[in-house]
Amino acid sequence: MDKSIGLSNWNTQIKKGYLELCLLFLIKKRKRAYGFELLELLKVHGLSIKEGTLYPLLSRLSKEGVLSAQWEIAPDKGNPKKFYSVTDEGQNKAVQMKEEFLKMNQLLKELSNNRSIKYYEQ
Amino acid sequence: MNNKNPKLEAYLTKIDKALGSIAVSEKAEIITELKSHILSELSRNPNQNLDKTLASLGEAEHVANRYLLERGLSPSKASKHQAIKWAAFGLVGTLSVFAVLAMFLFTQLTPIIEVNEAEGRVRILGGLIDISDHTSSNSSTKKVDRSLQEREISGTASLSGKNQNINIPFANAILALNNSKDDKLSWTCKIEQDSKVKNFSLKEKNNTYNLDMSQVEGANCNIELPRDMKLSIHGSNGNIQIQKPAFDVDLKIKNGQVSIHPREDLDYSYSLDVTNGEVDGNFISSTNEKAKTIKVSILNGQIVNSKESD
Repeated sequence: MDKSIGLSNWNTQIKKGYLELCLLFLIKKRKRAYGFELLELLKVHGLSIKEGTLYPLLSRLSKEGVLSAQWEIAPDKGNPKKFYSVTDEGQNKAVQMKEEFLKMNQLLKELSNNRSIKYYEQ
Repeated sequence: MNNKNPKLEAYLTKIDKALGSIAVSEKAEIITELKSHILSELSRNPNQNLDKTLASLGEAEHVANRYLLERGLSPSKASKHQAIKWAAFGLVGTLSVFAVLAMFLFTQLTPIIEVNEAEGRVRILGGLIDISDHTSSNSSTKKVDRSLQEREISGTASLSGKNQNINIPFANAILALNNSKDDKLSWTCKIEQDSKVKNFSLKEKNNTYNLDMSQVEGANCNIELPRDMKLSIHGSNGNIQIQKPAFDVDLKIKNGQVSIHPREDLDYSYSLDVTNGEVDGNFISSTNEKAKTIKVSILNGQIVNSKESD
């Protein structure tokens, strides 16, 4: 298998959960945001994803009650926009997800540094 | 950008259909959001055309599948794959039919070429084309394929009394009419192997014997007739040889040839009629009251005096 493809697949897998976490904090920071806007914001923060990935994720998070959505039509423009905001349930989930992610990050730091690993023989 | 762009609507309709079991209200929200995104993209970037925007979003089925996968639902198979699958089924089915047909034709049309020098004929494609050195003596006479498997049927009958009438109806036949040596009516015929007729039936009614050959196509018969009988023989297509008849003949056919070989020691009274054709040879009628009557009527064909051509 091509090594670059293997790395790409790994990136896709790791990004899947990471994206969901980042998205919750991004919307929480913005109070509310719509899809097109989120794509731009993620791109600015170096997490560029396709719209075909974002909208299904937003749809699922809304269905799970993590996000709430509200349609709005700007007076001067005809296109309706679906604004998302993080629910209380979503905020709790985001905190738990962040803690889990930090644990994993800490573990990775420990495993990847040059210090020796303590272990106990049974 | 026209909100009712046909290409955009077709794309969204595809997604809507591919969303499958997702609730209708959710589908409506998904479609509305995607449409809003596309229109926003187009209005924000004037250089971006619809094709590029749709390409960036992905194929309709793929987009719908992402929604389904996010919900833990089975993605719908792309219609293109279905089409390929059914095309494959169709191809396999068609090839199977052709294979069976080819096997059938192979079994039916073999051997490809069969040369039979003894019979002087070449059979091609299992007999589909049959070429023979021997040409039919009369093109209007139905050709009897001697290469077919034949079987022989025969019969003999002693007819009571003198001056009996014998009636022989037939369909298509090659007949040789000869005098009987033992004053019996007898027939020996070759007919097709698969003919349903076991033998000809001979029935007598009012001093007239009826030898029914009408149910057999292409019989090749040698018929021997007692002296002084009155033979009435009618058919459609025939090649008939009357050899030195010591009996009266009333013969009527539609198409064919009749050869008459008169005896030198007997007088004959001829009545020969060919509507389309000719009477080839001299047939001299006698005024002798005891002269045998030879009456032949042909619609299309020929009457030949075979004695003269010997």
